[in-house]
Amino acid sequence: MKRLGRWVVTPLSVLALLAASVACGGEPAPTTTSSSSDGILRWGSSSQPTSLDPRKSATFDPLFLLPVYDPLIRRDAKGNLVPALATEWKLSPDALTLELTLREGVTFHDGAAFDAEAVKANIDTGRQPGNNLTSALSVVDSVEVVDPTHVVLHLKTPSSHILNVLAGEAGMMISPNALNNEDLGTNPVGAGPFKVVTYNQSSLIYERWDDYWDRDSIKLKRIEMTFLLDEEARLRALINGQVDAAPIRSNQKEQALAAGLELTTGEAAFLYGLMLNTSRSQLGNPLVRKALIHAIDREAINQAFFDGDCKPVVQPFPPSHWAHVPGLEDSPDGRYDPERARELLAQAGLPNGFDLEMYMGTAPTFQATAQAIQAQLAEVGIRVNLTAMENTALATARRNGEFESSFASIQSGRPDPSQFVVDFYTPNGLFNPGKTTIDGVEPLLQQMRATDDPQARAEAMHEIVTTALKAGPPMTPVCSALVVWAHTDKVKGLEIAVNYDYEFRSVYIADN
Amino acid sequence: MSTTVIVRRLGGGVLVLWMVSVITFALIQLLPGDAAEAIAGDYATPEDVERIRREMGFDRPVVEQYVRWLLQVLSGDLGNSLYSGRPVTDLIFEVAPATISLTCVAIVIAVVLGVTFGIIAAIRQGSWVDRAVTSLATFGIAMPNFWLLMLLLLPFTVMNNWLPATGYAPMSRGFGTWLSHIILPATALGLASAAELARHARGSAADVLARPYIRTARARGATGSWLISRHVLRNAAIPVVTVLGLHVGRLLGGSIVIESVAGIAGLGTLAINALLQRDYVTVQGFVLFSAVVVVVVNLIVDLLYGWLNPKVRA
Repeated sequence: MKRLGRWVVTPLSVLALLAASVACGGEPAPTTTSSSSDGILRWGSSSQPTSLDPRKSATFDPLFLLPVYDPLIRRDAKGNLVPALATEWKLSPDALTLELTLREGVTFHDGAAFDAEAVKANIDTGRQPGNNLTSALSVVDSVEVVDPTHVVLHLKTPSSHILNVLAGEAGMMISPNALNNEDLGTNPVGAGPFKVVTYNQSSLIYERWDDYWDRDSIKLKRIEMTFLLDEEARLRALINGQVDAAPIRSNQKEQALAAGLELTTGEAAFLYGLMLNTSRSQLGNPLVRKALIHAIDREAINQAFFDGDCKPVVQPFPPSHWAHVPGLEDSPDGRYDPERARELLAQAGLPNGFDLEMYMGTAPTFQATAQAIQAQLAEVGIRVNLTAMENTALATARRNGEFESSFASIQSGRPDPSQFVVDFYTPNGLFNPGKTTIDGVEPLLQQMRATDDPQARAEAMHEIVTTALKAGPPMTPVCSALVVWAHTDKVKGLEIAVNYDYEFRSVYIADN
Repeated sequence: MSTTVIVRRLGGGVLVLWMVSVITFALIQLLPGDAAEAIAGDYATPEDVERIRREMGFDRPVVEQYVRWLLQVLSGDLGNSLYSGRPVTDLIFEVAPATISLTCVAIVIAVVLGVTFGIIAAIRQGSWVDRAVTSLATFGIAMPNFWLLMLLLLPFTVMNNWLPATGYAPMSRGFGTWLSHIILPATALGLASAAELARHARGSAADVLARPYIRTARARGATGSWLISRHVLRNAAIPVVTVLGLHVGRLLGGSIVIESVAGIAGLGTLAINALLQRDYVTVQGFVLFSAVVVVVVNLIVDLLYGWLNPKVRA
């Protein structure tokens, strides 16, 4: 080294210096030990919010919205309605007017008062064209302020599903002073338990708002979300202790358990299935659609591609959802039975099967699963020609009905299960390009939308699901994927909400 | 370097940027369907798509759209993200520090390791050191950087809790914290460049060491660091600087994969997310921004030639 002299030694010592400063400058040890009423939850998020403005947000955004915005009505983890900013609601017997009684003494983060005028202002801006709530709120004819704590929604048609709509993004109350803020998407102003203190492309940090009306129920002082979209990076951050909890993939469970992490799993109103265009190929024939139901070995797909975490379903809703009909999967109309599928095809005049075009997205899980379905359908004589398509092209094809069938992931529970019925099972539905009518579904839909009695709604929904299955549904369900969260043993009270209404209301950090 | 040379280089840079602007604009035009379909998303009706098409001016002649877009870009407005609606320039400047840090540390690692070992190998030509450096360099060039990063992450973050497993910390949180987050990704990113630089540095230093003036200098008593720093380094630097200039573009590209493995929110992550979210306006902004960086760096490299070697100044 001596001969090489100063110049060569200097750069090496630069590196040594860099290494030294890393060694002594590492992160301070995380302080997760804290009393149970002011813990910090560090969450590794698998997605980034589209917008923190509920009028512009997307399907998986409630996780980011609910800490900031309290909804008029809350939905618990099972999907049941509970009072929030509205303490009571009353739907008229004809289901044409909804009267809400509002909580008193609530203010927004910016000090504005929460009252009937604020509710009217929110719903009126949500109804304006060009935002994501327009269609959900299209049943609202007008909003009438009765007095500061009472507001009445006049509806165009009997619409009990408005309650679930108001439990979603449309009911998340924005401060009336912030409704026109250009930066609401990054700087949200609601009446929820937390305020956003930092939001950039790597993290979203919330701090508890001490003037929250239900302050005592909130046991976290801070929620620090880090966006870790890569699954491996997320698991590494969990093992390394950089985050306390995060969603993981089913086949990462073993690794997480080996690292001493705990798991919380739950169902979601989300399913994989085949979207069918009933005006193409042989799909207009109900017998063919029934054959598709019997031809798919859902359990094999579940085991092979989802490690047992994709519940086989022949209906749009997972087992724990109130709209789910128990036992349908094993019924004569729903069970895996390739022999029956061949019989049905023969009855349809297709003893030699038929050709079917199928589009799929480019994600590896999609491709593998779609290929398995292709092989299973070949067993009964349906010759599937699979085409992988770029997402925009796929969405365009679906929108314009320019496809025969498509393997897709579909969320079925938001804002209300009846929306799925409208979109897929009614002739003018967004995803029913063949305009198929299923006898009996529309009267049942009206019946369901005419009552807010949970029991009556569930019964009507069950009958719709059963009727559609018997008639050969224009969408073939395959399985409903479970949500898996891994977390340290200090994180308690995590609940996976079936409708994606993820809240951290029940979460606390244990002392030990 | 004379003014005409600088002007000519600048002109070339502007021409390249203009071509990039045409290509990135075409990116949006070549979308399956069109951008209105992408903006509308999965749940929109055909009427919604038509409304967006009109609102965004996609129904106008292509040339008109291009001129309007170019004027907008020249005024510093890269448009708004289709996904979040935020200005693309804000998105880029928010995450650029992470990528710039990553790339700069990678360059430091590449230069320090590459030049040091290259020159050691040149001085000890034919020795075991030389052979070791040459074979290690081949290995370094052949190794995919993301795989290297995974290998590095395992002992430092998963098996032991020595370094943070993911993410980026700005320098404002302390130099050590900043470095502890990027040292592994930067090493993984920089090693391939270090390997290539080592080979170039070895070649050009060996070349210079064989020159008569070195023999003369040695005869005058110049040895060790004096000889290397006075007579060898500057003369051997030109091929090294050229390679380094080319590598800046490659390092920026490499950061796309490295950032996503390391969970760093930088330009690479922005670009990948934008692609996955079909946010073509952001992709367009990213491509344009990267092109500007590469063109500017190459301009600097050109100017450095003049400083390093007076013969180029003519």
